[in-house]
Amino acid sequence: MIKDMLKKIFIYSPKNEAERFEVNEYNDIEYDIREEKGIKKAYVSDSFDYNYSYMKKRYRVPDNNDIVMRSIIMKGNRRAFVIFIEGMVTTSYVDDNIIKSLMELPYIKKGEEETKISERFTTHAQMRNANDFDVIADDINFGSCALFVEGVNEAFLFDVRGWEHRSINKPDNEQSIYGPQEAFAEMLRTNTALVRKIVKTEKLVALAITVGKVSKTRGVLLYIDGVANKKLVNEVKRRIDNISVDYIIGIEELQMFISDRSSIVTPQIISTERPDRAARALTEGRCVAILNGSPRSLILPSNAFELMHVASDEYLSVPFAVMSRLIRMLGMFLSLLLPALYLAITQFHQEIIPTYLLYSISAARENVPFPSLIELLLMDISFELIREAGIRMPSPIGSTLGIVGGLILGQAAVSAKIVSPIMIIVIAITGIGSFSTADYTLGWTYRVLRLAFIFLAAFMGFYGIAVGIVVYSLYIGSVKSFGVPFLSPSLHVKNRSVESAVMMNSVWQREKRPEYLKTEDKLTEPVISSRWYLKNKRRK
Amino acid sequence: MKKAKCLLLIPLIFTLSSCVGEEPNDIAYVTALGIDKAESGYLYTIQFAKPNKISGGSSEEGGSGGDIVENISIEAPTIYSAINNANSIVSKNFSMSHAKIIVVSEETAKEGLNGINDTLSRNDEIRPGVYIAIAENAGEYLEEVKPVIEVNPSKYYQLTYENNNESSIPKNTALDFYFACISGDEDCVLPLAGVAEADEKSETTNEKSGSGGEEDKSITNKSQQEAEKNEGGFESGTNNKLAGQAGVTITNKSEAMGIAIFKEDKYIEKMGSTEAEIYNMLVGKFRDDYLTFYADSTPEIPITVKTEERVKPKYKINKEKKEIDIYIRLICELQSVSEKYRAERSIEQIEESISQMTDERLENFVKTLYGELGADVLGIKGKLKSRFLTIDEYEEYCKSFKPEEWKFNIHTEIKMLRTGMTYYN
Amino acid sequence: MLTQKQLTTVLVNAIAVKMLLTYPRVLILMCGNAAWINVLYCTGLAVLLFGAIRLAYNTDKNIIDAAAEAGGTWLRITVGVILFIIMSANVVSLIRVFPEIIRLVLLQNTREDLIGVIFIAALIIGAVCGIESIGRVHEIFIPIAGIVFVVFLLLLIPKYNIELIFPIMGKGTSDIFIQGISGLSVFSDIMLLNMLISHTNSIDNYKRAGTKSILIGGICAFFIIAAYALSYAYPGSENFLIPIYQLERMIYLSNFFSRFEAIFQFIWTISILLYGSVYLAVITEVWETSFKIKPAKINIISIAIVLTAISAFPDSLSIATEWEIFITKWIYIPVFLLPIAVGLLCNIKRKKKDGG
Repeated sequence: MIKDMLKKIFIYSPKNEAERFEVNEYNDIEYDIREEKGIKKAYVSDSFDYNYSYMKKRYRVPDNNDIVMRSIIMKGNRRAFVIFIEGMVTTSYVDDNIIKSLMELPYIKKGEEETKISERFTTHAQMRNANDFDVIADDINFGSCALFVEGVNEAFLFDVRGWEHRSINKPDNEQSIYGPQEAFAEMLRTNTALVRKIVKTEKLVALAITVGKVSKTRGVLLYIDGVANKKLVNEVKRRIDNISVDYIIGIEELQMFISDRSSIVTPQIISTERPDRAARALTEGRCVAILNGSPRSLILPSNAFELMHVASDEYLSVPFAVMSRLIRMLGMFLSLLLPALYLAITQFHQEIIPTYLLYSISAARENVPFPSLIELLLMDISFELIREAGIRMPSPIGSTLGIVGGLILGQAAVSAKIVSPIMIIVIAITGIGSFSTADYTLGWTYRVLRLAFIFLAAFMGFYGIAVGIVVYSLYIGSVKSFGVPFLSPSLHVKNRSVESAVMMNSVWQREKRPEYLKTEDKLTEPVISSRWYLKNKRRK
Repeated sequence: MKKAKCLLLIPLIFTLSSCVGEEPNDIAYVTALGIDKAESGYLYTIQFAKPNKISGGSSEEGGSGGDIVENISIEAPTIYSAINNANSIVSKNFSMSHAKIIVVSEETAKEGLNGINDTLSRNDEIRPGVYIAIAENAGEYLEEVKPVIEVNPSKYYQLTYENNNESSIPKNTALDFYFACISGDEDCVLPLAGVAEADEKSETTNEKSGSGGEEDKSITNKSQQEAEKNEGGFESGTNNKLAGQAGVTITNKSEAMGIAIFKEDKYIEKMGSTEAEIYNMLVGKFRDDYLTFYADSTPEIPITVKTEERVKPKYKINKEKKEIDIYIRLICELQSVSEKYRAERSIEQIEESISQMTDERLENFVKTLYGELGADVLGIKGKLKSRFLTIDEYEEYCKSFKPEEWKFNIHTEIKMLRTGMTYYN
Repeated sequence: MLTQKQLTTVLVNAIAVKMLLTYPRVLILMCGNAAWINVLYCTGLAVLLFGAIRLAYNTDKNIIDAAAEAGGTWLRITVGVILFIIMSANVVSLIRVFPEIIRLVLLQNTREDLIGVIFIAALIIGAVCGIESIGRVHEIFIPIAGIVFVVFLLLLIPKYNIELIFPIMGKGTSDIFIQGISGLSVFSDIMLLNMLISHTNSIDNYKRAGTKSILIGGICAFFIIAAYALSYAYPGSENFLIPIYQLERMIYLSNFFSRFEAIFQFIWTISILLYGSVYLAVITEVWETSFKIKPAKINIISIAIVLTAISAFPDSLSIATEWEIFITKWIYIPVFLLPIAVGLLCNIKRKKKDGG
């Protein structure tokens, strides 16, 4: 071994192939799917050989290992072949329904192939014809199986989709004690089925949308016909259709594309992983967008107060739901403003603090070398680091990390006189408040804005915070989400209406749909009542 | 991205400029201020707290022992010029926003306190709830403040001056004093503060016995013996003490007891703790207190009752005849009486005799105030305001108002509601 | 589009905010401790005068367009300039006095011109966001401020002393009722309604919002003045620049809950910033409509700079307070007469058109 090392250092030897390899510009691209515009469109022909060789070339068959092309000889020596992608189809369907039934087909006369094959004999449920190789290729890429028969200038496409996917689980991020415990999964049809089994009406329309020129991600836009405002639906469809991008992989990217203003200040569209929440939004007159491959759905349009609502508000009785909302709002308010208020009070307005507390704060800060602002930023950033690290830790270590970070680092920092104990309390309460934020993006918004408020408070105390609040609220007031102003619902509860900002109406008082959505049908239902109650007592 | 970069620069610029606030530990918090007369100007004693001794610094132990306040004295013409000088002596800047009390010496108060009034109203640091007290020597009083059972000096002042269960001082703040001076509706009274003088002999005996067993805490306070004893039935047997005349423990010799009477903004007279109780009774601020009387038939048996004034006294003023009838209603609860004397059988007699004694004493007090001193402490002018339509008429009347001409009739109604937990048959 | 509730809250804020600054002292200088009678009297008068405006003013357009319809270009420019002068009188005194108040009350060691710069920057950003956004934020925030205000009045109850309100007629009936007519200047913000009418759907909103806001604003002003007169004895109450701050300092629940004035000032600061944004947005609109300039956001910045320059004229706070007293003596006259005049001219012109 030492000999090799010495040889390497002192004696010359030419480079081997791996060391000589460099990545250069490669200019001989034969076939690029992105330049499809210049290529002539190809159509299915009568000839078996033409079709077979075309598909072989198009799908790069010997190289591309999971494409299966199976030739069949039917009765009467008619040749046919089936092409599909292994792993994306349910092979039992292909075997039993397509190949077997094809092989058992009786002799077919010329000119009757279409009807006999498709309508009389092939036993699979979903099927359609196609002539265009682009359409055929799209379908094969998404899990269909294509059948080419000699003498027929169309291909038969069977929808035999079936691949391994996650089953329906409990919602991870929107837990609630009451209510259904299902969450969306990645399959599009499963998701739409979850919504449809709650809103069982034929008026629920699922418009097909496709985004991404290469990824061709499929999705649906759900709305209830006769309730949702047609202009809203058309506007959403217009925005989605005019997205020009190659790949869209998750619905969050779609959310960023169609938002009014995707700036740092506030998210304008809610995404949820609970089908009951999506169904409730549909009944109010909103639209829901679901995309294949994403376990979340978008609710459009939405407003500022709904970012603070969670699913369990609907399943608790009104006093408890209102109390839980108030506690959540307190947590959010604390997570945004508590460090700034602490800084403002101790730096500028010491007269607010009761005298004894002021002496403890002064004494505690006497040995700390940093000014308050730096101390606060240090602790804030370390808390964010702990949180970020906790996401990536494997779960046995994750909880230990929380304990380590919280107790030991905090305690050690106080004993080493780097920070004062009150700062630890402030940061801990801020952190707990930020965990109580209902929407994930809103939590991020508040984390960024908290820094802005800290700087404003360090500069000008309460006046700076007041200026910050006014500017932020006026900015939010000018944001619109699909034509609906973002601060639409008012704080007091409207009579007999579903809409709610903080306070809610009781379940038997929610007859009218939200006014700001301008739905076609104003009432959800006629006077809601529990009829058993009516028979005994007269209602007010 | 450019927008984000610009937005990030702005806060950095602001924090680097000198417009950042002051850290709470860079400020020295004044707890009390003392004003004495000096040769030129005044001698200001500034008392400020030491937070490290109070809460024990950054380790989590409480502080105990050692001084928790520090005093410095400076000669200067006004309060803020004194603070200006003091800022250069002490390393931290002074802040008056947590001051609890301003002690003024009697000499200064005799010359008039309009200068302090002006400072208090213009300045926003000194709060309007600050107490003003009069002492013989303000600096000496502040130096003797050594709280024994509190760790926090401001709590000591709060409990002494704002405590609801004591009636031996009037609870008038700087705001009341300001309005009394400016509006001319009434004259103000302020609490008295003082220092106990210990007997010299008892100090030496303590030194001798200090090495052995316990210290002899029962000092014979020289000034206590000088306190007047109350004559007559009202609070009989107790001393009418001024501040500095009560017996206290050795370490904390500062006391607050008695009232100082002002005419407009000048100090004229001081009176003891019994007069303070009477003043509180007449004004309606009398809280739970224990009064001692003698019953008529048994002059040697003291009766102590716990009294409460639940309703404010009613004043009936006859402007033409210059007569005032004051109706006071006191509710009593019997606390102690001799066993042999069956108080329960003669409750009505006791009530009558107590009310007679109270009437006499109160009328004496009011006569002294209005007749001899000429100070309108009860605010008679203010109560006459409702008889006039405009301010000009009222001000003309005030110019011809003479306190000596008014006659007072006081009617106390005593109700003995309870006799404690026993009922002797 | 502003709804009726948003209009009402904007105006209530505008009227009540005046009482949070130095205006109560002006009232007490005029009438003594009987300023509450003056406020009630002025509220009644204002309701009657606004009723007259309701009868006279019948168009859907704002006052400048109505003047253009009635009298042509010259009337439009005249009315525009008069409106601009009235509105700037209010805003200029606000821009001069408010940073000084913040320096006295909240930030004692910061330069007042730096506070003023941040104030103007916040007003500009608020005006750029648009009048609809301002209306929506008012609808949410003003009820909260109202609750804080009620709590504040309730906390002061132990300090009320009924004897301080006597002598009941204060400085005399002529001072209260005849010279006290200039107390109508509290309602000088009614001018805003005539410009905001082009942002609402129907003229009914304008009429109802005006009456409601005068009543509610008048009641708020009455309560503030009554609380001040009940707590502070008469000759002393003339001396304080910021009466509501003195009231806040008197609150004493227990030793722990006795130092709350900075928190109340925090809420009043938000109200005043919102009030300033509305004014700046509307003044810009006045300028643009009367001179037919294209609406652009940059005009707001230029008008803000002009107003700041005018506000720098008084050298000290005492001169500024005297300017304020001078302004309150005449500003109520054009506020109530101008819409009546323009409305009548408009009606006459329409009748001529229809008739002739």
